[in-house]
Amino acid sequence: MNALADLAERPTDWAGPASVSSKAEAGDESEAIVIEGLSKKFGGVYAVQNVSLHCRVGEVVGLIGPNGAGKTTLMNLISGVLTPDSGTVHLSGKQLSGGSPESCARGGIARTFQNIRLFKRLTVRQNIEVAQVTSKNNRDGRKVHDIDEILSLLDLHSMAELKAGTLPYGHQRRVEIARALALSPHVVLLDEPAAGMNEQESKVLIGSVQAIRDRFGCGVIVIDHDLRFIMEVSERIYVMHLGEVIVSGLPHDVRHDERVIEVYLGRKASK
Amino acid sequence: MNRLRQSLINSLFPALLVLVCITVVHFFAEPFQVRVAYVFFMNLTIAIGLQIFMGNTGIVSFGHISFMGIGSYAVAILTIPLAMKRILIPDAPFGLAYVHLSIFPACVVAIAFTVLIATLFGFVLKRLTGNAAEILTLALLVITHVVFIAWIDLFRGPRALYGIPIVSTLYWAGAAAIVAIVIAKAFRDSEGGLQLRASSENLLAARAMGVPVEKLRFRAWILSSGVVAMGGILHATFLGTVGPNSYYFDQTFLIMAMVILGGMRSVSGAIIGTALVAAGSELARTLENGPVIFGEKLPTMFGLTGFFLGAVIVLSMILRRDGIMGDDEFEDVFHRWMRRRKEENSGKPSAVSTSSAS
Ligand SMILES: Nc1ncnc2c1ncn2[C@@H]1O[C@H](COP(=O)(O)OP(=O)(O)OP(=O)(O)O)[C@@H](O)[C@H]1O
Ligand SMILES: [Mg+2]
Repeated sequence: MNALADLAERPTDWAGPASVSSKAEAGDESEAIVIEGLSKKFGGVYAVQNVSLHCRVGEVVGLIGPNGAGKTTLMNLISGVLTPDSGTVHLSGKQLSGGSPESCARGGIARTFQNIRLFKRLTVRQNIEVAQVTSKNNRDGRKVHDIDEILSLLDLHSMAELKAGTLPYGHQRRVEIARALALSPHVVLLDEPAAGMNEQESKVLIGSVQAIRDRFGCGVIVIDHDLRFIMEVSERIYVMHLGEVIVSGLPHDVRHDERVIEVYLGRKASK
Repeated sequence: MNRLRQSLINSLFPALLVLVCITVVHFFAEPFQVRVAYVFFMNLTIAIGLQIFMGNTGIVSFGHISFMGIGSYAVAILTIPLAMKRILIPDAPFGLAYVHLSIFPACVVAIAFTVLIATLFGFVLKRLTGNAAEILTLALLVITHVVFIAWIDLFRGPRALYGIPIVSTLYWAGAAAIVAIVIAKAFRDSEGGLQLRASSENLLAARAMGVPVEKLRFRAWILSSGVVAMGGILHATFLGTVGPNSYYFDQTFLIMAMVILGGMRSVSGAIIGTALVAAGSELARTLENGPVIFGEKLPTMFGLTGFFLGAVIVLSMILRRDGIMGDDEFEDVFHRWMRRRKEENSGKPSAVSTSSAS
């Protein structure tokens, strides 16, 4: 929360609401993913309501919002873990049909989990292989990434033969990212990758995320509560609140948006 | 291809164990010990068949002994001489009273038929997870048992079918066990096997990594049914007689105890578990009959064997839930030992060099 207070105290040279940089075309292949009008209700209450967002190939997009804003639910909708009530997802210009997690994974959506879900009894290398096999069996022309390349990118080489469940959480989060990359995805969804990491580790992670974008040619969508981390790693940011995207734009603009400050710091701050 | 070669190499050690065992029995054993060894290899084949399914999918199966029964009955019905069949099952359907095959084609047909039944059942099973799947396997065991008993025209009901040519020997049983080991190791190490094991660890994560869980479960189910059917054939062609009670709860618990004690996620575990439980039940059987030890006649203790199996399962669950081997195969233990030795060796000189530097 210190980071937040810090952000709020900065002088606001706010110049109108931040806007989406450009309207995304669903059929555009330079768009890694385009989401339009996605909604999901739980027991009559919207957890995600009419959310549209996009992420270009080679772009890192941040997604922030207070607890319960619907970020993870959005990610579950995109990755086929939940079925949306309405809305569409286009991946690299093609509409995603079918809704199972398997078909989304094969189609090119890779994700990590907020509460780590590794194959604990398998080694780090085997965890990554599980995803790589999917990519190998795909045969749709996407390059199959080399496991050693992925390992070195996330600095996991020294622990490749250890059981994933025996690693500290910070490392486990990196294994999750490595495993996701082995799918050769169009877009990677990272749900709070820096949670439980110390400052040093999350600094390294920023470098890794940017290296992923550059080396593997995919879009990256990052959720995190650590605003400093998000502001530094993302090129654009979406802010969710109560299931809706309330603001989106460049980190600088989002940081100074009154509604964002209000959502994060509560009504008091806005008075 | 590399994976297959590696797992063939890794199968060498357990296969060698089987060969050594056969050699020792061949040269030194009394006839009744040969019998014990035969039953051991038969149970090993079945335990490994069960491991192929349970170990890779993480789903406990109470139903695999039905595949033993189906394989057994199939080979019995196909190989009993026609004259005998006219007495035993004269009204067998599908003209089976008039069909006779020699042993090898009969084995092939028996395995194929078992796999066919497994396939039909598999379509239902692959959609289920967890408890629902496990209860379904229990239903399979009960259903096949009821069919064996109730379909008197074909199976002769609760009375045994006999007259099966006794053609199997210790060497066939050993060969079957080796084939089972190679199949199990190759499947475990295959890409599909790896993905399936991942799905048993964390289903959602596996699906999110594109693992075709249903397809792979189905594959494990089919493969394991074929291997267990081999065990059934070994049973029928050794005893020369088959009856419904050989393929029910007693045999299920025996094999279950073997796989659980050794560690169901490991082929090596199934081997160790089978050996220990076989030795233990042999001992329990001796004690059951009230043997004379040091001139002292011990009381007869009926049910000691059953009690022993129950105790094995309970104690494994309490003391070592993952079984003796856990996730490890023999080669994993070996590699770990090698690594530790190497570390110890390289540890010493580096310690010397740092101390001299300071
Ligand atoms: N499977 C579910 N069934 C019912 N309600 C759910 C389910 N998943 C999420 N919700 C609800 O939807 C809302 C959004 O939750 P979600 O987990 O998406 O928030 P989040 O933005 O990821 O929060 P956090 O920052 O705490 O991770 C919450 O009110 C939550 O209780
Ligand atoms: Mg969340």
